[in-house]
Amino acid sequence: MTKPITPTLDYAKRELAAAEKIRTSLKALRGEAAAKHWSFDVGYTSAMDFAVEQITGMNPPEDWLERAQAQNSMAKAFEQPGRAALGSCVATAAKFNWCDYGGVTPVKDQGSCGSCWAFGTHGAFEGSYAILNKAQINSSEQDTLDCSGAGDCGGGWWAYDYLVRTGSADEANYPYTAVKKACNVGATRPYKATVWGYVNGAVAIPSIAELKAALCKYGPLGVAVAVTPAFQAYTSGVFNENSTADINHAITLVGWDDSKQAWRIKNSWGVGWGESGYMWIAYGCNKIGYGATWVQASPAQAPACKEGPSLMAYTEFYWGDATKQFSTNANVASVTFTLTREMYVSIVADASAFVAKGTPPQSFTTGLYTGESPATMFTASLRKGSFQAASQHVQVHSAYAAKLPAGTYTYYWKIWLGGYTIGFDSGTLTATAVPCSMGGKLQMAQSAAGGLLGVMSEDDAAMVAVAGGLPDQHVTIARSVGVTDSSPQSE
Amino acid sequence: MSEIEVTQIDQGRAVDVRVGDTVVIRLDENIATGYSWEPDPADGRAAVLEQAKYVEAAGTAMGRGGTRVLRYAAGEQGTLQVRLRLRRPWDPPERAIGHFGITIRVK
Repeated sequence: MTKPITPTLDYAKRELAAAEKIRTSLKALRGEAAAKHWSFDVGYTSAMDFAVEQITGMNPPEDWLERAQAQNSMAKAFEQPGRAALGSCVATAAKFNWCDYGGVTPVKDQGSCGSCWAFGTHGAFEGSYAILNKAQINSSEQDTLDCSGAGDCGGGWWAYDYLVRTGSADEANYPYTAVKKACNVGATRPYKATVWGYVNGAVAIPSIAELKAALCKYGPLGVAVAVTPAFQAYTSGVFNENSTADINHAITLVGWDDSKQAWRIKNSWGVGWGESGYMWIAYGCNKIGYGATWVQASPAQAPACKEGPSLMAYTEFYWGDATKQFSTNANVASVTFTLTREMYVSIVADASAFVAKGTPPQSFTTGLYTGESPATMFTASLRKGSFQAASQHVQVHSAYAAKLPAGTYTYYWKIWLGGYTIGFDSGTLTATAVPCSMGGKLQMAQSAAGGLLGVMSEDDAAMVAVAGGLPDQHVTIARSVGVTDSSPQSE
Repeated sequence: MSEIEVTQIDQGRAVDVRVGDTVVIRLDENIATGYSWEPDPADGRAAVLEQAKYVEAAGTAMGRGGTRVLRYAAGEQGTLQVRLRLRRPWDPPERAIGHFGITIRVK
């Protein structure tokens, strides 16, 4: 009768049931651990049962060092020093970890496919992208596995050339399946790399100082390491097996700690391995740092939004409008619009106001909401202002942005006050919409009276809706990228 | 005394051997994925697991994989069910992504 499978963590029990030779080899392994002062913990896992034997000695893949020098010569020409990583990292510091600075994307899982070369490549690429573009992305290793030609589930080498030439799809659009498939050539690939290189093209393993300097200059690095059963069984501590086995695995180097004399690495075996997917590995251990590479991500692309923004609704009022004076909570104005499909909508209220009756100082709160009752407004749209002098005119501005499904919507502009009467000068309430995200979270919106009716912006991308004359449904579109103070342009 | 080679295609088979023979099981494995073939605890003494080693494939590619080689020595008459699971050491046993089994009959 077959005995039940021993629970994963019941290693001691498993050991009692193991064959004599297994127990003997385990004893030898523990003796080795004691003799070599291993400072990491291992479980009696299946990995510890087995020895690793390798058929071949250490041979760099096909003249890679020669190619590395050529690659680095080219990299010098294309590298953009102005886009080097941030000043938060100092190579002479006792420790540094890009995880603490938003430069490391979450741990992934390569599954049973030997695609670590793709994960190591993307780990460095996503790190550079996060540092340079201040946005974490989830690029597609499957895209690289299927299309780069740099390897397959039986292994490979760095695939940065593919990210430079072609770019990468987003994981959501090209999900990982752990099986190499036919390339989806038509996939959208919004993420690209500008240039990549080896940390030191003249040696297989750069020095500790060179690796630290490259980490600071470029962000997380793609490096190779020799995986052994002990590496596989690592649970915590500083891994210091110091095996001389050949490199066989790619990982992402993300930081260091001199007090541990160790590198911090991100693996691609899910968060169940090691320290939530990470490991401390002693400097020089298991050939860590072999073939170390850096990559520089290209600037974030403006999203493809061919149809541009549409002015959905607009209302305005002018100085002297006696209906725009309020002594209690009220709706200043409203706009109603219909979306024929899901769109990203920006609502902007903008005016100046004064104390019509009463004595400053006075204060007010303004905001937006879809309900008509004056007593409620979106928290995110809430803005406060105050009058300090009788002659003062202050800006009353609020904005709100949301992704909305198809439907008809009414947005009300609210004013909250008490104990005095507020009077409005000219003002506008504008609803602008685009049919696609602009690449990140919509951060702000502006409007102004006159020709410019609405601006939507996210990060460095801005889209502008401009009135072609009197406000109507016809708008002229201008787009800018990387400009925070752009003037509207007509097409 | 002879060696009997067994591979993935022999899944589910019964292998007849004599006392003193060795059954060598060779299964594809890739240590760079974290997955290894793990034997269930033995349920008999007819054959004893003498050696289990991972032989890395030739080449230097990262993630290239290799072969798990398990050697069972037939020690006495009887039967041994060999069952292996392809799993990561830190995953629960039921999360194995592959199974392999043979019956060693020692005569």
